[in-house]
Amino acid sequence: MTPLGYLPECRSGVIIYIRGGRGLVRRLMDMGLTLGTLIHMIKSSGPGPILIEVRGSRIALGRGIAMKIFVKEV
Amino acid sequence: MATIRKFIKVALAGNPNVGKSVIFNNLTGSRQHVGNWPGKTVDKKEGFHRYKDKEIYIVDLPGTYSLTALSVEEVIAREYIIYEKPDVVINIVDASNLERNLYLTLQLMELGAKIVVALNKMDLAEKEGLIIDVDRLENELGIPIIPTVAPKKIGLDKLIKKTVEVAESHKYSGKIIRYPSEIEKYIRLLESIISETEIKRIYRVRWVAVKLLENDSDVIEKISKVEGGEKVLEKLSEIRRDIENKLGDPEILIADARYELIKDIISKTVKGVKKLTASDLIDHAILDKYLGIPIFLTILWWMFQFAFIGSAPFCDFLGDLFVYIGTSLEGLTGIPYIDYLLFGEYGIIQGLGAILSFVPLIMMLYFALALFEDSGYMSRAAFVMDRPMKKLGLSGRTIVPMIMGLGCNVPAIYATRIIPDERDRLVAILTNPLITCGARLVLFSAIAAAFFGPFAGDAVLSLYLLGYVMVFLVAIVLRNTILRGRPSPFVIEFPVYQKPSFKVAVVRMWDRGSLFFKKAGSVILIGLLVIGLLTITDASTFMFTDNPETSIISAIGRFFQPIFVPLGWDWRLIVAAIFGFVAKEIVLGASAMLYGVGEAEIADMMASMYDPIDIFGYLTFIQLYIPCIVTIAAIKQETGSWRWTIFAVVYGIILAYIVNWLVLIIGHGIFG
Repeated sequence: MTPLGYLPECRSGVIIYIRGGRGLVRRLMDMGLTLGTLIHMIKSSGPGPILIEVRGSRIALGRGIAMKIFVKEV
Repeated sequence: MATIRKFIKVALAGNPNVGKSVIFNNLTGSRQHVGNWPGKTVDKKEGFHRYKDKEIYIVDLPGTYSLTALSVEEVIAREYIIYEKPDVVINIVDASNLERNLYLTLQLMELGAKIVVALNKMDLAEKEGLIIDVDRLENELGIPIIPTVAPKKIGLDKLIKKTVEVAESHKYSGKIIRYPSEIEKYIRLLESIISETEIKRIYRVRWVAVKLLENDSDVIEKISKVEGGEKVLEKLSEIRRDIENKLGDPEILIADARYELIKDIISKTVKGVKKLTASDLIDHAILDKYLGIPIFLTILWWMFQFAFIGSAPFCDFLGDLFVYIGTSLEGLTGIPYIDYLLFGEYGIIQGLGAILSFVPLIMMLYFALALFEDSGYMSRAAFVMDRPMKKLGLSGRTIVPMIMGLGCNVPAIYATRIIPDERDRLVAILTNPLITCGARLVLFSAIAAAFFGPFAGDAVLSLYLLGYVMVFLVAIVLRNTILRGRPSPFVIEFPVYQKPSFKVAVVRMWDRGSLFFKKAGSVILIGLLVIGLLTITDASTFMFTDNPETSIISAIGRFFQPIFVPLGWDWRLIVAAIFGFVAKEIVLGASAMLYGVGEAEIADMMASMYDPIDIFGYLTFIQLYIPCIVTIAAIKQETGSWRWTIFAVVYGIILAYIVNWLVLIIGHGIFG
């Protein structure tokens, strides 16, 4: 289990845990990030936000959130 | 005889970036109107479309990903559907992004609305290698689906035809969304309890049951006010506890169940795998950690060039036109009092001209910004700037209004609408007037040239920097005091890049521009009228005077003079600053009038009275004090609160005073 923020570019992972308040979890859920969802890392360089592919859409997440989403690399 | 229904009410709903605006514009054409949702700062677009003998009223609901009570937009969208009961909801869905888009569709179905789906961007889906079995999808969802390509108007006729058909049919029934049996059992239980109360008269029972399980704060609050609601809520907490013990968080379970259902539908109806698109390749360059910011700045620079150069001839023309009208009408009424008030150099016509001459610039900036938004680049800009901005307590998206403020603070304050979080947005609005706008540049460059000689450019540049430094300082202070908190987490969808639509940009420019003038127009007129009256009324006789030295405004200037003694101003500078309240570019002309010299000589005249440090101090004051009246109108409109508006004005003056004073202390300390 690693934070999404550490998932290297071009790799994929499945969400297994989201640490955060109700608002954050809800918001991520509405954007399609639920437990068990497959995420593909498109861009993750430097300390800024990351860009992922999830359920066919491209979503940018701040580094802070990326460290609260835990994935299992596949 | 069957009555023919002629008026049909339709709402457009969909995720952001699905092409909703294009469909709305193509359906309503010029027959549309933009306003605000009552009490909200979210655009409300309404329009009409004629189909045979039917008049279709269309309202464009805000773009949302979901219908929870998480954001203003979501609450607006769902309350409209519940209380205004549109005959049909057209749900616009991005065919190239079906999985995430259907999440909203399912929630619309649960609301019990009659839905017609516009499966938009079909061309893009095909290009990306997706094949969608539309008939099958229609069957799976149980609602009509019309494939469309909005910019080419493909499918829109069919969409309207279907919408009318559905509006008039009594047989329409969307499928009921079934949850896995272990959750379904609790939903049924709640449904049966709700059915025994008054709630069923107002809301759709099943929707309330699901929302209550989802712990929707808004629905809970509303239910508690309905007869029998308390009982339902008591039972609810029991049920929720039971679910939590046995299955887990009901909110997550329900969302998961919806996505599972969607996954199942997709697997039956969509073939093909999305390829790596050109859009992804462009993103790799544009989001590069070294190139990202330079690319962003270059694009902005071009946007500004475009807006400034493109609008310059129109701005000059309008300015000259009003001066011409004013001067040529002078003496028309024969009554000096009214004549001066209307046509004089500081009368209403010329004052209006000074403000209106900025309209083309504002419009061009709106236009450029609309192109920028429509292309899909806006969210990338926020991505690139997120980290530097966050360090300053601002959200990444704040960069757009911060840059626009260099042109004019007014469109910049409207542009803060792209910031979703209310607090983030307030910080952006309140700090924006500190950014040097185009009008201040005119004043600064004229005065700096006379006072600072070869260093004029440096002086002006330092005022710009001062503005930005203050933005950050004030933002940090606000973030640690009255608007405490960190910028809301950055979650943003990247739409696929597309060629911006000229039509959408023109419509958006027009909408925002005219909305502003409708709202701000009255405030500006009143402001001009008050200042005009004060200038031409004698302070002792209250009769007409053409000598500003004896007017009420000079009396006000003299009254405040003691406060400004530490800053070394005489009353004329105070009055000029008051004029700047109408529009900052007036400060120059007003000082010229007050010192009784022409605009060309004013700088030299002032040079003989003040030393460069005093004047630099004055310029820092002008840079930071009260935003002009138009900006104040924009702040009032966008914050919806007089309290925040007054706050913006007051803190600006205090800050300006302190900085001006510090400049004098430090300046004289160093240079004597």
